[in-house]
Amino acid sequence: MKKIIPVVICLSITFSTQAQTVEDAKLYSWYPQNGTARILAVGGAMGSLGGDISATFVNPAGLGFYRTRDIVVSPQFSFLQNSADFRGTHTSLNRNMITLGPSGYVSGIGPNTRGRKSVALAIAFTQTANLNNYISYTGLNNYSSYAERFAEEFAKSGLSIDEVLNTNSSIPYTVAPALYTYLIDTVRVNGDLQIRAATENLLDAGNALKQQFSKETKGGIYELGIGAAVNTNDKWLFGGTLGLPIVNVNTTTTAIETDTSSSTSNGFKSFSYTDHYKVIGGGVNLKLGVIFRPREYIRIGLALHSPSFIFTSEEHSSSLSTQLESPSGAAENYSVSSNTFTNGKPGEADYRISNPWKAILSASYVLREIADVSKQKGFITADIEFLNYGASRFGTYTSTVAPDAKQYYKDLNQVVKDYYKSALNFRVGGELKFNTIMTRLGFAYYGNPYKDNALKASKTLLSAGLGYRDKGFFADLTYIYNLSKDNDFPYLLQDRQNTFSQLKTTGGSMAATIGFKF
Amino acid sequence: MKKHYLYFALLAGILFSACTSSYKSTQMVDDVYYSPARNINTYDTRQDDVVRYADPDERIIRMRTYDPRWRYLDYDYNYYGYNYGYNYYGHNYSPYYYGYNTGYYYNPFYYPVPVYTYNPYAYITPRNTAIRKSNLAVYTQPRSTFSDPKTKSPAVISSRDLYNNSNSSYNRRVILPESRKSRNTYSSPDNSTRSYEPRSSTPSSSSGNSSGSSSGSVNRPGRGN
Repeated sequence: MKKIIPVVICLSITFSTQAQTVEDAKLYSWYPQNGTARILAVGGAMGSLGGDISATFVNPAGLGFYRTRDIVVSPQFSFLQNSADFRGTHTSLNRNMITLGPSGYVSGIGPNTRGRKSVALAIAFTQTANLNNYISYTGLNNYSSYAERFAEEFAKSGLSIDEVLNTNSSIPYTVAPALYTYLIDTVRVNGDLQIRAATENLLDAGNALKQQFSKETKGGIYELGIGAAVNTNDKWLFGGTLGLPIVNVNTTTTAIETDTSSSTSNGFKSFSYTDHYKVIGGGVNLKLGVIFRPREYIRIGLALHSPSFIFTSEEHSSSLSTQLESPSGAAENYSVSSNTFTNGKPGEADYRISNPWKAILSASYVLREIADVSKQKGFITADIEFLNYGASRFGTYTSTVAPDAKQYYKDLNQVVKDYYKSALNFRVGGELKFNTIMTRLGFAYYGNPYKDNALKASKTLLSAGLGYRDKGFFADLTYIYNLSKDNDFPYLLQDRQNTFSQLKTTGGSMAATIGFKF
Repeated sequence: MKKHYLYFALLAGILFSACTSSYKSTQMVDDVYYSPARNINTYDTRQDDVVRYADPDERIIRMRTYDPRWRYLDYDYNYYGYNYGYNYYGHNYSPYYYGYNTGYYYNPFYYPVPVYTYNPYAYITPRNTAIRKSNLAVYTQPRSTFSDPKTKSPAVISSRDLYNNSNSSYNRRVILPESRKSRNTYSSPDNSTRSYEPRSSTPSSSSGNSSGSSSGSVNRPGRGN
């Protein structure tokens, strides 16, 4: 099996089946800066450099350096490897993919009247975050079971079996299928009626379950940006971009547990649970920036990104197949789809997401900013980016929501705030220019979004690239080495200790940019 | 890996073929470093304006030259209504009336009376709007109740800590808050036992989360079948 991951952009993707929405906060905010091959080669640092279409999505004031016109397309390819360590078992998967970096049209005009040296407009499209990913890991567990999450959720719901098992259930994707297939049921223990998972029988007997988890995510976050900038006498440049983000994510999660004992009378043999949801949405954001040039060589930039307010619609379904054993050892097979409990069709939920606002402080040293190309020798540029991953918010925006949705999102926002923290991200790189040929190196580091120190996560990108510019044509080619670490809880139980897998993504990405100047 | 080479080959082909494109300037502008003012030929623009607006008749002639549809601009008085179907050639062109005007062809898309298919009384199955939830309490309670053997500080269980696939009693002795025997009656401080205690006052219909109100019971299959 191979696995996808972004180009440049090795998004390490969370893989959690129980608590997806909490992890959604990270999914929609913890990803590297995308850019053209030239900008990715210098680590993605673009907060003060300008003169590249990537400025549309980083610091739109950088568009103000344009006085010519560019048409740019930026294909990207990735071939990364995901590995997971889960309870002593190591799993590794590869997957390749193609995506698109900033592509579009920029036009600069100047000098003009009214004391403004030049103005520039850009319309560009990019994949902000590539969420294509596939992760799978396996392990043995003699302590807890995925099925116990269904038992726990049912116990906390306060609902009776009949209230859960109906054609318009309030917990149709998890508890209803588990009850229907007898993966969980009520059992009298010491005179008390308790809710138990069938898997607990063999755990109590000291046996282990073989656990297999996989999660496939397809799609990403895209953005159409319309940017404009004003260059005031090459000293102060101001810019803004109206961004129209688009979210399109398909996620399929599978959990399989199998009895590893030789017993045929412990009541459980195996189950396979699949959860699928599709999120489609659109929204808006705003990016504002300023670049100050105190002298010819120096550029200082500041950019502020508003949260992206994205309005989504989610289609959700699940299925469960359970193989049980009767006391006599006979096999009992049960299967059901969640559509049975959602009026015969997948359930739908509308909600809004806002990811964190972001601030980028940047500086560049450019040698030299003169018309004679042969005397342009290179530049060094660096960005410091601040954002609070705990600032992601969820909420409703339609009247047709579940009765408990508003309170749930309110609680969820508090958990997100407590679970994630703010972080500083760094990007630095430089270019050496030899008339028509350019060489580049870059580095980027994205810090840990988790507040819990025991959860280690980071993204490191090392990049190197070549560029060619002559006769109205330019081409850039960049190789990016990705090293990403993250954690994943396959399920979380409130009344048990929880275990998680450690994820690691390594591998390379190739980014290319081809453009024409006219 | 072969696919990677294909990507590179494709990219290299595009690069080298594009390099052959001609450009008049010997020194190509690099906007990252310096971008000179763009030359705009205002004289030509003005000349074009002169031609464009000089003579309305000439303008119409130019339009008719470019597109035959403008050649009959003066005969479109009945474009929207009565006498539909007649013009210089005897018939206006309409893809919807084509055939009916001439009487020669059958047009399956043409129906003279509007057809409305909306039925306000039709039953629409309400959608289930249950949201994708997680047990948020899991995130707020401390997950670490055992000590790291090295630092003696609380730590979350990691896969490395649980490195033991033989499923011996090692894990459970270290990790379990209580022995497995007492696990079924384990009671955490927040009373998270899995007792079956449905709220008797909860009406059956309130469990539905749809925008509609109808729901029917679903019976479980009999055990042992």
